[in-house]
Amino acid sequence: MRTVFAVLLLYGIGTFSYAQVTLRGQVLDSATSQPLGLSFLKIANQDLVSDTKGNFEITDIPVGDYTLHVSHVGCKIKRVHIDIQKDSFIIVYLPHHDHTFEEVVAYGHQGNREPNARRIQIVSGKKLEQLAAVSLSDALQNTNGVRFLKTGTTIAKPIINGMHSNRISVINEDSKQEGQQWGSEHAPEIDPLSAGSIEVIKGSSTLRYGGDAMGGVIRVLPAIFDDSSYTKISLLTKGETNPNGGQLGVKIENNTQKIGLGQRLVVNLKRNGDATAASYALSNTGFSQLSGSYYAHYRHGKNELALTATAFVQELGILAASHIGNLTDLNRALASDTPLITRPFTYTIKQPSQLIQHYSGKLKWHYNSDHLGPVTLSYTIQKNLRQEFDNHNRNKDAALDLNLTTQQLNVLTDKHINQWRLQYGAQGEQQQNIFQGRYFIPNYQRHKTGIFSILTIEQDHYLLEGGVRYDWQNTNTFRFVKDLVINEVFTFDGISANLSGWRRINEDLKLHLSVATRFRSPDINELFSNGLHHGSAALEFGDLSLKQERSYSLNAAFNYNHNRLQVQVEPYLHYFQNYIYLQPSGEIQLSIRGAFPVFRYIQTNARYIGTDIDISYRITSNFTAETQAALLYVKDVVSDKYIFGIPAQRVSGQLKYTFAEALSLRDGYLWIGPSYTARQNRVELDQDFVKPPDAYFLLDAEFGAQYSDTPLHFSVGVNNALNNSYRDYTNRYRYFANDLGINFYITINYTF
Amino acid sequence: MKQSKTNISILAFLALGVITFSSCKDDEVVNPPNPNEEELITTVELVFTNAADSSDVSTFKFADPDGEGGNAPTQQDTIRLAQASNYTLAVRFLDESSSDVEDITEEVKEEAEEHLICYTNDASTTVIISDKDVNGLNIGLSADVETSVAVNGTFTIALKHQPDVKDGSCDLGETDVEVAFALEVE
Repeated sequence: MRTVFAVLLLYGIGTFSYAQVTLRGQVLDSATSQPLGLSFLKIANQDLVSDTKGNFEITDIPVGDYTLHVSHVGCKIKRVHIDIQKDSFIIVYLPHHDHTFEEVVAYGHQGNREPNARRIQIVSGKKLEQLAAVSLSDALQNTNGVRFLKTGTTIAKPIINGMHSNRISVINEDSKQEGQQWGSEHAPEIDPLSAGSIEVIKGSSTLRYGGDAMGGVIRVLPAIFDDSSYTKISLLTKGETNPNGGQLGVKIENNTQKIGLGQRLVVNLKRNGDATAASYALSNTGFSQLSGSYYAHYRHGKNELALTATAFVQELGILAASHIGNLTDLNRALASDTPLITRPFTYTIKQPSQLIQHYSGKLKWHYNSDHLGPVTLSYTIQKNLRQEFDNHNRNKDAALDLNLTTQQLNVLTDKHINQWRLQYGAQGEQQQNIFQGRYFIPNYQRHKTGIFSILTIEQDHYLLEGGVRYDWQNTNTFRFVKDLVINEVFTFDGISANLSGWRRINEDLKLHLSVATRFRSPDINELFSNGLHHGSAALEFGDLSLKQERSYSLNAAFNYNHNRLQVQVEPYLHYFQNYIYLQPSGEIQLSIRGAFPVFRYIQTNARYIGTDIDISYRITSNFTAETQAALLYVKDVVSDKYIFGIPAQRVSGQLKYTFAEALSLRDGYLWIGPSYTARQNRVELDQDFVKPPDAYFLLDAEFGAQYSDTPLHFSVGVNNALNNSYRDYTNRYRYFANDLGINFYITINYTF
Repeated sequence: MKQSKTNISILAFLALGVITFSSCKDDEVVNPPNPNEEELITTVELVFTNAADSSDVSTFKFADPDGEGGNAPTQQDTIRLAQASNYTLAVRFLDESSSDVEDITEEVKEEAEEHLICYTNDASTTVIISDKDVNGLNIGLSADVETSVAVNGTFTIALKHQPDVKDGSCDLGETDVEVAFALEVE
């Protein structure tokens, strides 16, 4: 392996002398000359997405003849042949469904601006279709710097900059996805196929989306329609061997330009049975999901109205061997190499299990005001039902039953004056939680209000942005204390601020920098946990006197493109005051179920230092080598101890071969991707039940292509090709069983 | 001027929205379920009857009326038995979290094919379970206990919940109760 890389590197040095140029351009609708935002472009081996005004920029291409592939939602791929000899600007006109139009290519010189100061990674709708993604973890699996806190194979919470749960926000366009995010076994209820695209915004310069997203934001954007009339039906299917199951998705999209109405309906069905580790079955890990959405978009003059309705229903089994009653059970599970309960493969989900439902409705009004710039107003209602069934009370009521309702109101104005841009807006939210069955957190009603303002100056070679935000929240809780309902009130407020920007040092190098301070109010479980966390063999106690936590963050990014080499380094530093976390207290408390270790939510000061690194090198016009690394060091600076549950260091690579046409296949690729995850050695041994799992190596591979000129796209792949046995530090099932063994999959997409 | 008017109207709209949100407080939010009405095993009671003398009955208890967490257990008896004697043991599980005490033993009996009571001790005392479920597997609500020499040790009783997996082994399932009594054989 090492020799291969050395050879590739030597070859690379030999080819560095090629002249390299920059290609800038814009994608426009050929009928209306309107910009086509978020068009997908591909030149040689680079994939990119144009910004919302259709602008794009490719910086490291050697001179030569190229085929530029341009596509947009609802359009056939356009192939434009260009001979690039110097820095160029091109305009690509996409004729959408009207194939009588010839594409027009114009050369010119014109500045290209980026929309804002943030560094955003985008997973396009097309990519989501190719991945046949049913969960956020499927959708973001190849996004560097995004990791997952897992409970088994189906429950995964994103980790960005080392942070997860309530330090990360999932935003549906402009309003926060509200679900019961009170534990590692609660995953966000998102159907990625309903999204037009998904953005990952790392770091803390995301004031628009709330004060508490210190680690970053995952933003789910709605569908985009072409400026022409069409109806399109897409079928997406995926079958896989481990976990044994399949998926069927249908997308129906219709746009009627005459009346300015675009509609999209997505239905996505997934079912799988028990998964298997390298050498045994993982019993009761079956999963079924039905999710979908309806989106309609109406344009008239300066007005635009959008309606979104989503539904998400998921039933999933909890690994039979992981459901434990006390520390003795846990120790017995830890002492055994294999899970204590393994049963033959089945699709049937037995208790313990979870039934999760999330429904939302959203109404958005967008108005292009002459004086204010575009104004967006939206109202969202969300309902999240969570039922957890344990081994008791079989076929009866859920042991844990929570019902969360959230209403949100958002307003945003976005005014451009020359190089200046001013955004300001406000958010209001009301949320209530009602529980039945076992007490976990109290009933509550919460009100939140936030206002913000962001000022940006955009120039060709730099961009500077400053923002300030004020958030206030008030929570009324209701719970029984000694046969009496008591009402407690918690109010938190604070200021968040951010200064960020980028500067282009030269054609090759661009620097981003962001400083921010933010605060987060303690969550309801951090305040109120009081007793046994079922299934985790721990007594967890909240603290009603917790104060809000404050972060001071520094995020940077170095973006270097030279010739065939692309380097991105994104270091970050977060310092927290009153950082809230669940710390093992060292006490053991006796109960009728046996003795339990006691964990308490405490506040301390903490420091996160880390970096995400992404290097890619185009070896030949067909071969690309890429490597990604995510490094992170976290400490409680008061006690000078490591903090529990931080992902281990990881390095991964990919060698990709692409071809434009061969064997009646088009736009084909084949990649193999090895990854190495180190052992997490930065742990306090007395803070966990067991030592962290060993380092592990995984090998994945995939082949995919479009069949001839048809709209049929397929991919076949393998995960964990070596069928290695491994356990991951951020997967809670590591106490009980190995992670997934080898898996073969096939996806087929067809668009009518 | 016109701009500031529009700004004000937007803010006013928002304020109105927030006020509308605040005005209603659902009855359901204000009235949470009483957690004390939930079923809970708070007490394990062991009744030892001397096989040779049925009037020699001793009862030992472990009680933690507020369940896991909260306050420490209120009663932790030491089991005292005579050496070289035979006893019959009857076990009871109770919910004493509220004033009307509930006997959970009946439920364990009804779902006997999902439950197993396991005994371990380090005091040379033999425990032989004497009751069986419909599948002929041990339950453990009653047992014959034989002591040998005078010794101090621990006598542990565990109630295992083993739906679908019960095969007589104590290693499976989820522990609902586990109490280690101090044992003195005199």
